[in-house]
Amino acid sequence: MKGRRAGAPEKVTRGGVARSKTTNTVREELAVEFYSIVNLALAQYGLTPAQRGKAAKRAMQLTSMPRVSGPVLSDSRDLGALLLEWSRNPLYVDADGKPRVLAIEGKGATFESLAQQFLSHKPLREVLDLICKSAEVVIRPHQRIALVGSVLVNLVGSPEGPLAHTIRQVDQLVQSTLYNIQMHKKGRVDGRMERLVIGTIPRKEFADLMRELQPQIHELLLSADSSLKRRHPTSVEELRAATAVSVGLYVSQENDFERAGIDPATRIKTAQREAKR
Amino acid sequence: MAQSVNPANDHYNMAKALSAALEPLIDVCLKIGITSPEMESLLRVAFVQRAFEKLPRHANSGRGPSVSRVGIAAGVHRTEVTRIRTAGGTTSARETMETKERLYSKSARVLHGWKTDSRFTSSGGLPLDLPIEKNRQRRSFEDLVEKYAPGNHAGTVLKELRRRGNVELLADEIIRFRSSTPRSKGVTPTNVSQAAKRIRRLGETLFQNILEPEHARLYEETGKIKLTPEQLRLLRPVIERRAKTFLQALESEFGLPKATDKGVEATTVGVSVFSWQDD
Repeated sequence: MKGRRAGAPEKVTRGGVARSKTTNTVREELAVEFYSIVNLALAQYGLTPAQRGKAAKRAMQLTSMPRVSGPVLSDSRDLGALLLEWSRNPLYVDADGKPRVLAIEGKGATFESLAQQFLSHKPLREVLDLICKSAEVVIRPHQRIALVGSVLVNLVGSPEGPLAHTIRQVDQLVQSTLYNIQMHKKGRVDGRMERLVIGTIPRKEFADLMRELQPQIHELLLSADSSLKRRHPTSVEELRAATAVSVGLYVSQENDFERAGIDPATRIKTAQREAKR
Repeated sequence: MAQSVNPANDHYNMAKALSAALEPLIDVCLKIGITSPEMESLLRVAFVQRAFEKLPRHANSGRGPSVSRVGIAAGVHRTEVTRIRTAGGTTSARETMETKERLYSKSARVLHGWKTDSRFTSSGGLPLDLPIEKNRQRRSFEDLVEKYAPGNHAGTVLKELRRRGNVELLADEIIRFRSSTPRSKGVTPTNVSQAAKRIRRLGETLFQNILEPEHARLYEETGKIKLTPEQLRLLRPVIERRAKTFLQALESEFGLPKATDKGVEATTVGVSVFSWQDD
């Protein structure tokens, strides 16, 4: 098929803005891209065209953000805090400093105690089901449970979890970017941390790169988590003046160089120059 | 606790030290015309026969080590071990030479899979603690052995890995990955020489910084940290993990390209991390 893809905007030339286009036209095209990302992603999350249409209509009438994704994720956040406690409180770790295998029920250093501390509104069996579905734990004989991996809470198993998680991530990223724009306009440089590295690698090496990055990212996040925990409010008064801070890291892969904003030819020339040096 | 940048160096250094012991044998081989492949086949046979003699006997029954266990210890397939035991010395060596094939150590394959296969690593990329028996998640030691050392009994592989200090068996039948390379224990000449080399490297860096501050080498340290025994128990694995991750990242970042590839004279550098404790 010749010409543009269905619904695709006229091509914007490399370097930002086509000479013939006004800034407003480009902005509109970017907005179309943004909406497309959301619309097509929602389709992949399983929403029908009718549901997406209805949601878009409702959203256009709103003047402030609805609060849906946060409460959906609240149990997962509590579960994350439970796992962190299990891996960091001296009561729950073994001689190696690793999470101990715990009796599921009972008083003292048991899973029941942890469940009551972090998910007291849920019955123990429900917490157990939740943790078995979404964390790296295994049930052991004699009613015991072991945390065999890291403190990750995997949301893939729940119906709304992945979408809610995506919304939180996009919202956090958008808020940080908007805040930084505001700071820039005021001539201030103390914005929120926002960094990105981008490169091109052979596709077959992606898995290997992930293996290399995984422990580094994991350790960095654990370290950030320790910093947050040290500053956690310890009184109601402190809590009133508190703010939620998140540090997110992700790795993405894009085979469409144009979409990624990369000119591979330039990169190849640079690599060739470096090889000659 | 000192950590070398490349743990594989330990194996290499030990093998290098052992090679000195082989020199008189090689001299004889050269004299009487035994080739390297012939010698390798003989060595394999001797290795297997010696492993049957030297590996610990079963604690209760008193029986000698099984074929599987000898196979894992010697890095030889168990059918090969059986054949060597049945055929005996020289016949077996000849046959081995004739059917020489590249065999991998089962233990190394199991450990490698445990470290790199996302099915057996945590979301942080580290080896999971594995329950011995199969479970619904298909993340158990039995699953690991089935995938990376098919045909071997999980219990036999476990015994071998424990004997080498690669893994630890915890309560509730959970196995914890310790290290791919066994830690050197005891006051042996090799270990003492290795420790002395590390002390020398540290000393050279410190004195270089005093004597030639304009060409200072990296030396950084934390301030004193006061910890209760409980806190220390929690912090120690964190320090170990962070240091390992940091060193691995450095190795990956600066591992390529090698200066020697272009015929440029190379300087060997390294970064060591260690913790200290005033009791």
